[in-house]
Amino acid sequence: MRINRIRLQRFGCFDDLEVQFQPGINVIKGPNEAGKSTLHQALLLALLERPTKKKSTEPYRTWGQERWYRLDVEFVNDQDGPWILSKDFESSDQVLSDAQGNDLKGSDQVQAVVESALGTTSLGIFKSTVCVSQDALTDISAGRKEISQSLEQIVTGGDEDVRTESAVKALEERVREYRRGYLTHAPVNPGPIARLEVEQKHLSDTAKQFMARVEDRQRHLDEQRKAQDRLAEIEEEFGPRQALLARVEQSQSIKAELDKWTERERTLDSRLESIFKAEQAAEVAGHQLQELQPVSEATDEQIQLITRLHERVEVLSGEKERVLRYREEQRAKSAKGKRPARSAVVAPGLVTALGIVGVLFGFLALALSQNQAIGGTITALGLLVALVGMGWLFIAYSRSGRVPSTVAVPEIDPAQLTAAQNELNQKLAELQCADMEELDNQWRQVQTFRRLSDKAEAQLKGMIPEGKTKEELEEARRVASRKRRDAEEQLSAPELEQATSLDMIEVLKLQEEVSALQTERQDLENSLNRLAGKLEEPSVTREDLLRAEEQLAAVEAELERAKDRLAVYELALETMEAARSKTLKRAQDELAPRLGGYLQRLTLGRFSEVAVDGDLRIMVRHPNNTTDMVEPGLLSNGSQDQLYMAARLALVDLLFAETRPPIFLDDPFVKFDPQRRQAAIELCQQIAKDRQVLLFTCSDHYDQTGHLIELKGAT
Amino acid sequence: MVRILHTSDVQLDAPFGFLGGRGTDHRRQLRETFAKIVKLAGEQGYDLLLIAGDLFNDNRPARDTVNFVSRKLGELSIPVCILPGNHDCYDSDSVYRKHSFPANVHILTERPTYLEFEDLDLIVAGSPLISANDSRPPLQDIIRRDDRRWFVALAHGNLQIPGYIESDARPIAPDEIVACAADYVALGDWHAFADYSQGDVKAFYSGAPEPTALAQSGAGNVASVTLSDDGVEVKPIQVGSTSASTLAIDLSDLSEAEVIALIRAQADPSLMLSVSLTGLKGIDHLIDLEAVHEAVAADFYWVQVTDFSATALDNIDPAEYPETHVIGQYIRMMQEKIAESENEAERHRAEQALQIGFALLRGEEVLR
Repeated sequence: MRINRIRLQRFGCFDDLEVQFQPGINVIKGPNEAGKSTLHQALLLALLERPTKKKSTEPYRTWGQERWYRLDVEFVNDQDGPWILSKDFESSDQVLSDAQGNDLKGSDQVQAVVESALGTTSLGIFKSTVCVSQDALTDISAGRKEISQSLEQIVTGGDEDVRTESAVKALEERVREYRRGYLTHAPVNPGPIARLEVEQKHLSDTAKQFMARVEDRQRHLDEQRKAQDRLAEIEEEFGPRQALLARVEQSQSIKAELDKWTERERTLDSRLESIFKAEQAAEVAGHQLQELQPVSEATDEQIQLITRLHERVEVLSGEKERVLRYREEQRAKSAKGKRPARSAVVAPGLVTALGIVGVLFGFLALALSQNQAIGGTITALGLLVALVGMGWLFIAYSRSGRVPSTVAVPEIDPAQLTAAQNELNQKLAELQCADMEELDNQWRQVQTFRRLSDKAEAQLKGMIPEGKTKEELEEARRVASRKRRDAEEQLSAPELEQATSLDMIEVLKLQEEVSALQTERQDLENSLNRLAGKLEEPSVTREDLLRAEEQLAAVEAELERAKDRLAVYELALETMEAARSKTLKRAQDELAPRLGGYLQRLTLGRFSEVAVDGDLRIMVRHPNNTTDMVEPGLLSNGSQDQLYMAARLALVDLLFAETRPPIFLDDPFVKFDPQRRQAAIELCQQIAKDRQVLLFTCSDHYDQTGHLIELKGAT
Repeated sequence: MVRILHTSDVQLDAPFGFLGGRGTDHRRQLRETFAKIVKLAGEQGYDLLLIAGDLFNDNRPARDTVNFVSRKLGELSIPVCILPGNHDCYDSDSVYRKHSFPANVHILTERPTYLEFEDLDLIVAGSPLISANDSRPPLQDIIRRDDRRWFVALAHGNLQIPGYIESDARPIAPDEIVACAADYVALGDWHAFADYSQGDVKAFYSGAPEPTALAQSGAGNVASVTLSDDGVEVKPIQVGSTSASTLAIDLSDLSEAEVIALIRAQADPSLMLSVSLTGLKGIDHLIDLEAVHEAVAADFYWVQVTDFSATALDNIDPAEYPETHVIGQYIRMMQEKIAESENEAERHRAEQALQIGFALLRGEEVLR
């Protein structure tokens, strides 16, 4: 690629400047402020900058000009051309015209042509490779930047201030920030993910807590509703049952009253009946006693006296009779003889005879039998029987001839008996009794009736409480009767009909039901009180819960995004480091021999062996030290500049081998000694055979080097 | 003539996780809109209010919400028919079992339920969903029994549109709509007002009165139905105070500022806008979604910006970013990762990583 010419209008110090270039080396010479840097920038902008008004293009406007600048550059490719690229920064138009005057206005088409010409459309890459400025060399020689960093910066495609390192650093910082407290320990200053996780946990806990409380409240409300419903059912069931039970109790109470008054009435009836009977008995007894007068009026002493008198009469009469009967018996005995009756002596005689026979038989047995015991026994038994028979005979004879010689025969005094008899008769007459038997009979009756009367009296006394009268008892009975009738009337009331119809089992069942309902009602009321207490507590509403859940959802979404961003940053970082590594390795492989070749020419053979490591750190074998490679910092300032220059040229070879864009050299040889400057010029001349070289300088050293373009400042 | 107001899918007390801090506002708005519907039914001469499912978002609404609904419906002098839907199904824990509603509110609890309204010369029929997973066809067994009276069917489910919508859950076949021979089928479950009449049978989704999710662009209406000897007339009435819409923006040649300007062109404080960034964007075209959202959030009821765009990898010229440069190497490696992505999320992450790394290597301060 080669630039033929450029026209600057209202650009920097140039109102209108056209510069023609030649193949090979073009030396753009001028003093300070002559516009070399302006032309340099104009070339870069004309080729690679979008014609838009922006901050980076603002500084090149001509002072006092309203309109923005316009740049027209003509160039040729190896394959085609010439092309005229016109960029109007006022209208933001760019036009690429070919040799036949055909215009390409589409930015894509323009970019395609420029890229095929330059090898890049990136101004940054262009500036960091083909543009070798004296400033950069100065920086390196001043030790402010490591050469390797500069080289790395070049191969990473950034401009002077941008490097892969800074991109990696930015990503590392971001990744570190996002991982802080999330994947690393950072309790004090957590990163966004950790903060969101804390917030998420807090909101999640809050939402769970709210959920539990809302569910609790809902459960309490449900329980309250069920309890209230059940309570209403109980009230419906309880009312009638309780009323029925009350009527049952009322009827039972009335029944008890009825029983009480019935019993009372019956008792009083019975008592009054008894009283009546006792009174009748007393009356009968009294009447009988009256009938038995005067005996009934006699005293016990009187009767006893009469009884004793009668006994005396009896005794006297008895004695008289006994004496008379004794005498008669004695007379009878004398008349009959002394022999007892035959019948009385037959039996004893037979017994006696039997006994004697027994004895004889015994003796015979003793005599005839060898057995003495049998014989003895028979003899003894016979003797015993004989003795009994004899005794019996004796008694019979004794009886037949006995005389009571021991009983005294009294003498009877008839007067006594008569007197006693008279007195007795008198007494009996007084009592209007014919004889003692009548008296005894009447007296027994009197005693009977007296006992009956006493008994009736006693009964009456017992049946009528002390201080009471029969009339009062009768009144009490009437009251009891009335009360009973009242109770019976109450029990027969219609409202008590059901209550009274229940049997005991049904009543017990009813009582159990009412009791169970009362217990359940009490439990429910307690439960409702408890629930009311709970429901009065500060509550979390469903709205609170929904809000918390929505906040949680928002935080979770944010957390998800943050994690996603971290994944993006980590992926970018990981890939960028890999890309950097791979690029540097490639650069390292190709850079070292090229760099060594250029360095050997620029240093006139003093330095030739160069090593480049994976981080593009350059090491040079020092001529005085044949064994070790040394860092560039140990070289002289001039040698460092030459090393840098060689590295740039090697990189240009590496990066733009095919398109071979012009090389822009901005006075890079200022600190070179004359020999090495000459070597550099010769190298440039060699390079210029293959590509265009634009050398910007304020020095006259290069006047003969190539096509000289002198700038004289503002036009 | 019978005039019916038909609504569904109010979803009172729904959570709105996507609305972040505005969930409470939207729930309040749902209540207000419901009150507006009841007022409309009461004051505009309607004879019947039909709620075709999902009045509540679930069976655990706040007691305050249920009391609010009861109070509002109780203020009406016309009957109200409520069909339990999949959100507020008639299960053992149903809100319709736990709470009592005014006498004019008729809950359809049997499958099927036929309600006769003598005064209106009308029969309403429908089958409730008895669990959230009740997938039975809701119009099954619903059939006209009396030709002399108006017949309105309620159904909460998914209309089957062969080749387009073929759901196993609560399917409503077009044939079933025809077979039920109703004068009007009040449909619920879909949130957009829509006419799915079949043959002579008029069948409409009333749609939700307020959107309950982003991209529910047809929500915000109730159906006003007139049954007369002249036929059945159905028209939507706008009751919603919010609306939902979607906006797709092709990022290809747009800067961040241009994207913001395009979104702002839709600015409406009652609009829920779901913005999808699509198209192929250049490798150097990095859009900060958070910055875009921040810039437009105040102009809408709610706005969500989602990046579905892809990075244009085909037009990255290897010559422009040679592999001898880290940036060139980086692009190539990321391109490989994008190509090897196993899913959309991975691909999107790789594309973002490509853009961020690319920008960083060009010296742009993209990690603010």
